[in-house]
Amino acid sequence: MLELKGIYKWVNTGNNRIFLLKDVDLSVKPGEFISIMGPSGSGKSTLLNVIGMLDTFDQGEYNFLHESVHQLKVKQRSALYKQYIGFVFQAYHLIDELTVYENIETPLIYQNIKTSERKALVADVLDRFQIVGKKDLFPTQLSGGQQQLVGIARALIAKPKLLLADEPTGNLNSKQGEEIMSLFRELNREGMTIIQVTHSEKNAAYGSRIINLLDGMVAQ
Amino acid sequence: MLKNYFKIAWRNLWRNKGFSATNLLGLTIGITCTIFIFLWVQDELGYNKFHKQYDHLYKVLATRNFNNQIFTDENMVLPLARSIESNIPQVKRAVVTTSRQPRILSYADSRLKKEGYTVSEHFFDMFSWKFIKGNPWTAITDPSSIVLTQSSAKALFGNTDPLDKVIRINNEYDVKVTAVVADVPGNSTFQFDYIMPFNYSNDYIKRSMNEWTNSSWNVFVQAGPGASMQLIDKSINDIKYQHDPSDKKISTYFTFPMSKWRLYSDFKEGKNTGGMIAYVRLFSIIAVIILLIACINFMNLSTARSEKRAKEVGVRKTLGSGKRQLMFQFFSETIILACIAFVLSVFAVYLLLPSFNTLVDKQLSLDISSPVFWIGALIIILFTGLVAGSYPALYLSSFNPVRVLKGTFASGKRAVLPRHVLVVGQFVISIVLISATIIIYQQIQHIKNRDMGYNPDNLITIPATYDTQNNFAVIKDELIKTGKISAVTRTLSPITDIWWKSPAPDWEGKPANADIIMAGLSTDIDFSKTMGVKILQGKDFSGMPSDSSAMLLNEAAVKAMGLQNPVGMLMRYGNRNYTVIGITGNIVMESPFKPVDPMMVYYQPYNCNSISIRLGQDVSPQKALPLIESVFKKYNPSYPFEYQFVDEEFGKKFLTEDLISKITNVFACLAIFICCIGLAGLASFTIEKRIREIGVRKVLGATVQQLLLLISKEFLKLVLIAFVIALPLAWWFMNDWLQQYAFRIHISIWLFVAVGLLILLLTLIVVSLNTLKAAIANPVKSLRTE
Repeated sequence: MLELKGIYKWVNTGNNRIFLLKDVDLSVKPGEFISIMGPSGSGKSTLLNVIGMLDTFDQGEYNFLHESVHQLKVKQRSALYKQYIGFVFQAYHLIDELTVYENIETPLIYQNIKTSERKALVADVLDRFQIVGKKDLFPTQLSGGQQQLVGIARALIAKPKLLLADEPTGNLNSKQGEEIMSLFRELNREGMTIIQVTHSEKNAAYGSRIINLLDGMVAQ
Repeated sequence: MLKNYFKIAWRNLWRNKGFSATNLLGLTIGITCTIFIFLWVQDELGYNKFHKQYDHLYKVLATRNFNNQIFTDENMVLPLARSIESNIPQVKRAVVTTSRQPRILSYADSRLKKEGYTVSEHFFDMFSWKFIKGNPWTAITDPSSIVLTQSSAKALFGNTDPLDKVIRINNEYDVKVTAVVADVPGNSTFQFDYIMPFNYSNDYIKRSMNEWTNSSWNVFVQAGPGASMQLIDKSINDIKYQHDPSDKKISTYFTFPMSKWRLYSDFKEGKNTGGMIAYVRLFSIIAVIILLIACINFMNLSTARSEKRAKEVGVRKTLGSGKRQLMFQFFSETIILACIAFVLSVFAVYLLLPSFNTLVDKQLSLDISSPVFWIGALIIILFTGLVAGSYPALYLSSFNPVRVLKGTFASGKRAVLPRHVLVVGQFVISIVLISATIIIYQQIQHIKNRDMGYNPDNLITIPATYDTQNNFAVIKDELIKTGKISAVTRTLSPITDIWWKSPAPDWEGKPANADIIMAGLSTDIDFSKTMGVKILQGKDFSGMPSDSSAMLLNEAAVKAMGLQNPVGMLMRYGNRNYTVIGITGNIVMESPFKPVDPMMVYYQPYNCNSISIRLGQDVSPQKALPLIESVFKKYNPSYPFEYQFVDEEFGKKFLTEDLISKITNVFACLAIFICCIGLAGLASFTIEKRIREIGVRKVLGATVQQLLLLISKEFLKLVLIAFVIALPLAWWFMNDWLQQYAFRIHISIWLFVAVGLLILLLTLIVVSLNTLKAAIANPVKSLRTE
């Protein structure tokens, strides 16, 4: 599905070069559920952003579905992740001004999907996540778990091939967290490739493989 | 997609009511101003356009060089039009008219003074007036006919049919109403209540038709299709010189197109120097500037609260939104805002239009059914939406999603400099406008306070007629007997106008190259007493027989002629000799903005058109007028009693300046108001951002004053910068404006200091009012909002 080879990312402060990612090799096959772990500042989120093409890297090769990401222009990259990648955030990042329905619908709008089709797709997802009754509420009217559910629904609406989650349960209590994680497992069983960043061993255990990062390097 | 953008935009505006209201207020004021100015400009540009032959109509003017005094004159000889029409094939028609003349129209018991023109045959073929009764082809074929406007017909005949009614003119002869036209639109150069044809069997007209030196009429031509105006001009000159060879030295004739009559009416030294067009341009620019200030408010407030929207931008980007789509979304917000502001403005315009009409002395109306309105609306909304939305859209859509979502986004720092530049720009404009307002006001006051050489207060003028001239001695006597009148005299023209200009008389020792044009005035005894004119040397006329060969000169004349001991000198004017018996002070009769013309005053009571009456000291006009009226009713029965206050007539000389003064006043106030709204908004956002800092500082012991200063400092700095930029700008603009006046003020540095202090104070107040709440609040509250 995707392959990182010798990825470096750094920032220069004065004469010092601080490495955020250092020689990271990673290969992900379709259907995998990977958990990235590591202490704060080890580069977990940076790696996830690089995989999600939200962030660039300074050196190395990145192939995603046979496309060489490092050779693509910004526009082509964003077209690529728009089509194939869904994001889930720790702080949900729902748009406060939009209702649940509209939040979920937004990615489809950016992919120029027709209104009637959008309606059907959103209705399916609402149904599947059992949040039909909440579709006209605004994010602030929901609990954290419900907001994250909407966040995941939004990430999945455009039928991505890869789901990236940055500490998806970080702001939730344990019960809500468990629900989200079992949802992830269910999605993975249906064939979705998932990469999550997490602090929790328990959540990491839901995945099929764990990558440990330390100071920007993959720990062996 | 589009619907979605607008829905979200609407919701965003609704959520942030304070932000939206602030911007809406600013934009509404800006757009209202723009609509008003647009209406005014449209009216000015539309002058005379209702004439079907608009593009082919010209007025014949002459550049006259009179002893090197060059001026442009519209007065032509009577036979010129007919000659042009029959001798120049490229001219389709030519028409001659009188200048506007007052006439007394009487029918049954009603006697009305109406103004209009006497015109030649093709007047109604050339100019397009809307006929309500009768038709343009037969309206003036009979010399004893008259065409009335609808309102003058109504005033004379009420609701009865005016056609074929017989009206008496000036109590001298009868004419028949042959047609009624709609009232003349306000944006017409011709303004009349009636139109009458020339009566070619009248002795004076008959004589004038063969007279090629008496220039008293206006001539208009309609060019044929594809005519060359240069050729026509040349032919007109040829015709005139052929009949009056002596004119060749003096006059050059040219045709002046109708499209320039209104906006380019000023001539100086024979060259066209523009006219109203300068103000049309100026006000158009000001309208755009006011709208721009309102747009800047939107930009500032949008970027100031950008961190609130940064997250949304980040999320949208990760969801696949492109930069263009985000920009589009932000633009939809401003477009919606502009639409709402426009609708509010239309309401405001409807409400304020009557006051605006009074202000500019026009009859403007907003016609929302016309396509022009909708095109204008579209332009204004798009302009506002795009300008106001441009910077926020570019700025907000460029956020990097990773940084925004991580929360490490340095909120709005990048936008601080542009925001400061915009605020400074706003204040520069405001300071320039305020300075301009004050300078214009000072200049007008300066001129109004100029020594006019006579006393215009409590002075009344009444037009003289045949009867008043015959009965003048009795009238004067009865007026004085009332005890309310202190002096009465009569003059050639009212004291507020000069009707007679001619070369200076000859005197012994006159230099050969003396080219002096002098104003002339004929008068009766009591001239200086009635007008309040100072006699500097010698004496006024006293009615002695010798007065008929005496003259007065004014100070300017003595100076221009270079006379040492003028009193007693002999002057030769025409074929008669006059002795200078007195020197008067300079009297400002024409433009108070120009130096006083040299003037000679003759004792010619028979040659007077205006009676001047000086009320006694402390006599109110309300008391004196009925007494004066009864005297005139008795001795001048065929004319309605009409009078003018000289101070009011004098005030009319300031119409343009007063208009400019009022309009800049209004604009300056609105500009500064919009700036303050923006400032208030900006201040409250700054405070919102720094609420924690304020809390911490308070806990550490800062007083409310210190906190106010802390927040105000940032804004005061901007105002100071704006002031430094605005000062030379304002000075330069206003100095340029003042150049057109011979008598002008010097721009004082203290004026700018005062304006600067005013703006500074205003800033302090606006910012403090917004800061106060945060500064007084219990810091525990703001610190708890972790």
